[in-house]
Amino acid sequence: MNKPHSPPMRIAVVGHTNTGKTSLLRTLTRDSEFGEVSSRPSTTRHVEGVALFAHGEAIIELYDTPGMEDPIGLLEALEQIEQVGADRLDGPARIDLFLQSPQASGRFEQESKVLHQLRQSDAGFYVIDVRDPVLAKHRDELTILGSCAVPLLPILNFVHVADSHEANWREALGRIGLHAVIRFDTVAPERDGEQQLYSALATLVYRYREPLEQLIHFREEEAGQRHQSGLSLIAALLIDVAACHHSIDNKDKPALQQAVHELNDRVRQREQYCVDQLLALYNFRHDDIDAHLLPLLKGRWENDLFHPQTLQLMGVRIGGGAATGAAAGAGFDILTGGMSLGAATAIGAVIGGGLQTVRYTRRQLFDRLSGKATLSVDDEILRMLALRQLHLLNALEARGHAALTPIEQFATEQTGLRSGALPKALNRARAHPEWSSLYDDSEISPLYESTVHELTNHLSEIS
Amino acid sequence: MYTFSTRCLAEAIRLREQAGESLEQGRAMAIAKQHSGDAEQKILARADYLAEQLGIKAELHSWQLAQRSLWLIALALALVSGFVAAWAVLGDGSQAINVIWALGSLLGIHLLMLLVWLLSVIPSADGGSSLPGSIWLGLSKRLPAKLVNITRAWVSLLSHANLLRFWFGSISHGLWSMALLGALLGLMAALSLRRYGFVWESTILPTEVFVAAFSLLGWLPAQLGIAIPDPATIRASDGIPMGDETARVTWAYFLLSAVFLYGLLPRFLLWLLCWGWLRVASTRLRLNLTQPGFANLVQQLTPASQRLGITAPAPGRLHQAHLQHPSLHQAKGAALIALEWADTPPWPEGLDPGITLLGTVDSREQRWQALEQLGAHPVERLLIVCDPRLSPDRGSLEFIVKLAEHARASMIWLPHSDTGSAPQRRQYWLESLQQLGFPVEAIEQDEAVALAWLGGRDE
Repeated sequence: MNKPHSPPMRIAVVGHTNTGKTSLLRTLTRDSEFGEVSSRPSTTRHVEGVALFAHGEAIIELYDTPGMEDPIGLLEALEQIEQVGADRLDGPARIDLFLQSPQASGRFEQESKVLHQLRQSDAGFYVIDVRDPVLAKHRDELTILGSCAVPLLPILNFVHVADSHEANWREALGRIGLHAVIRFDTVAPERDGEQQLYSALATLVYRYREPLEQLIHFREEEAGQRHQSGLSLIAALLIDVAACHHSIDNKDKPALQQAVHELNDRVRQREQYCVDQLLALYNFRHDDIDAHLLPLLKGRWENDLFHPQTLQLMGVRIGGGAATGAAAGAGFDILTGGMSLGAATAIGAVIGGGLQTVRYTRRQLFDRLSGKATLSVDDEILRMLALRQLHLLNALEARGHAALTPIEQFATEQTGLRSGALPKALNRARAHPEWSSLYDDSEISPLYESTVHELTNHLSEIS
Repeated sequence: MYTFSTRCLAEAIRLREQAGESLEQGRAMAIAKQHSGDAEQKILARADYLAEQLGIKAELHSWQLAQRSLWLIALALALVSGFVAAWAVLGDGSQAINVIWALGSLLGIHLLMLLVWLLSVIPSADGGSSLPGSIWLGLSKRLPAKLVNITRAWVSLLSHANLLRFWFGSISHGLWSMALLGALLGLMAALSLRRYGFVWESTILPTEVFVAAFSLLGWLPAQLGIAIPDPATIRASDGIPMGDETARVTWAYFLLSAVFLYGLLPRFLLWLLCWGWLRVASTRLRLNLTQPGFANLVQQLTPASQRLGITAPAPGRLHQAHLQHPSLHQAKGAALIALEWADTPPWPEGLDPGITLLGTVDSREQRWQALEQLGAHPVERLLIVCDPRLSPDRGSLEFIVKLAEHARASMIWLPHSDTGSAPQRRQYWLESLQQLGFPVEAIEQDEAVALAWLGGRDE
């Protein structure tokens, strides 16, 4: 790290008014409060800069500019300048001269800011709203911007709409020699959209290739680490829930129903805590403009975890004595009293409170002898927790529902989790009730940390 | 620059924050951000500051002290128990020592536990399987509450780096080494001060087995120059101890060297290995920044971007056009014009021939032409068709104003569209046009009404 730090690359983000320039900057800078975004035109009227960092070093300086609003008038004014001067002026010289004229600070005050910034930059991002057709004003705009003698990278925004004019835009750009075009929907960019953007930029401005590659690698590393963090949060949730074993003294029906409801509530709360942590990890707030694109409603899951329909939606196979379609419960197993399985299932259905099995674990021999029952969380609920949280993580990384597969499809693809044996780590967790924090504080154990680690690795392999 | 202890402090703080405590203090984040280095260094700087402020550093010191005391006590106990065990095995001298039996008693459990340890070292879940280690951990849980948190942090840190098995190993081997040292000392003391006879016995095994066994066991000591019983002596020691001084001495040395070479030495070397590896690796250990509690700190301390501020501020007032109503002589007829309409014009075929069709206007030349034509022949009524799916910009609005100057009355027609793309843009057209000075009645979206007005058939 002893190389002298070269100054950061300066990029002006330009384009017609209301094409999503500020929105693009918010996405690239991960700063959800940069500038002001609205669908109203001429929102940005100033030039504001922001620096992008990699390993603590500023790589790029991006400058948000006001939209160009009257390119036809501007080109006309520029052409008049050429005629006044004695020598033949080339593009950039003409622009520089124009910027000193009174018109630049009067009628074309907004456009002058853009040109001034672009003239000082190493490259420009020309942002295009492909929902708009290619009009004469756009062509004039490109002519003006092209004559600034700064490499331009066109960025196509709103590419996900059905009837966009993308093909026309590509053709129009090609006619003036701009063939390297990047699709980057600022609301729902593709997973490697940023990488494509910076790679194209590196080709365009070759001398900044190294720092740009540094930036790309840094962002990839960051994304990988964040993914791992997300998985370890999910692993902690699953182990916490799998390990939970709660003894009940009183075995009559209302008490059991109460206990089951309470357990379900605690599991829901724990899941919500994990969801909040995941949202915080990806810088989403519950009222975020993008939050409605996640499979959540105001930051909470819509479908109740314990409703049988949720299970069916996820394609998780219900085993044991669970009643399908009915409002409730799974098999119910009280050894003392010697009930048959059929009777137990019927009682389970009546108990309600969602899918829950009251069962014995091997460790609770004592309890069994003393006639207690033990509540734990079914495998199916664990599967569902895992699937839901992984889907949420997927959505957070895709950042928008254009790229999001619906949860039914996602669940279908995760055959490893939906059926088959539970991961070893979860089975181990079941044998260690002291690891669960749902009822009491959890206790330390070196095995706990390594089990979380193991489960995180398992999740990263299957996801 | 930062040591393992600081990382331990950072982990302890993280665990407490994860449990819900808020430990943040004003200057901590500022200090962390200023600190040079990567994200991990910044987190450690923060942890250092917070630990100092909250007294966690002092807790760590007490914890280390407690661990050290526990270790010394355990070592002392091991030494003493080894000593006592050796005395017990040798007995008081009245009976001859059965060499195999004695070796088995002194080394048997040790070798078995060593095998178990070797098998558990083969990677699987990190070593909760060591008995001394588990006892140690159990004792650590009995410490006062604050110190338990340090234990958690320490265990968490080591287990993430897969170093826990080495820690358990060094406890295990250390204690065993002490015990075997004690046994060795006990043996030496007893053998020096009492007279023992050495035999071997068997009911079903032949002599040759024992000769082979002792020769095998004695091979290593022999390489080191220690005098061990030769086969003749071995055969002669069957059942009845030999009276020969030399024989007794060689048997004694055999016993001592076996305990040393197969007991103390391997355990000591393993302890050295585990302890040494632990020390080296713990200096190279880095925090696992993907854990919850660190991940968000990393984002806060090394943000992806930093605002540079506004370089060209917004103007107070924007240059704004306004609808003029010049007095027009000779205005007659009606005209229809579409502005920036990319598809076919939205008006139907077969309009009243009295209406001047100015067509679709987009480029600069087309605009000039339209303005010239209207300038030459101003009209009574002008209908301007705009595309509500586009954003109204200053250029379009100024052009509309210029067009309207050549008509006594103007209406803007914003046709219905399947507002898939931008439903709000129609609203902005309305607002912008009204700001220009167009009354609400002059903005229409219905085709029939607009064309009726154009034909002069309204009211």
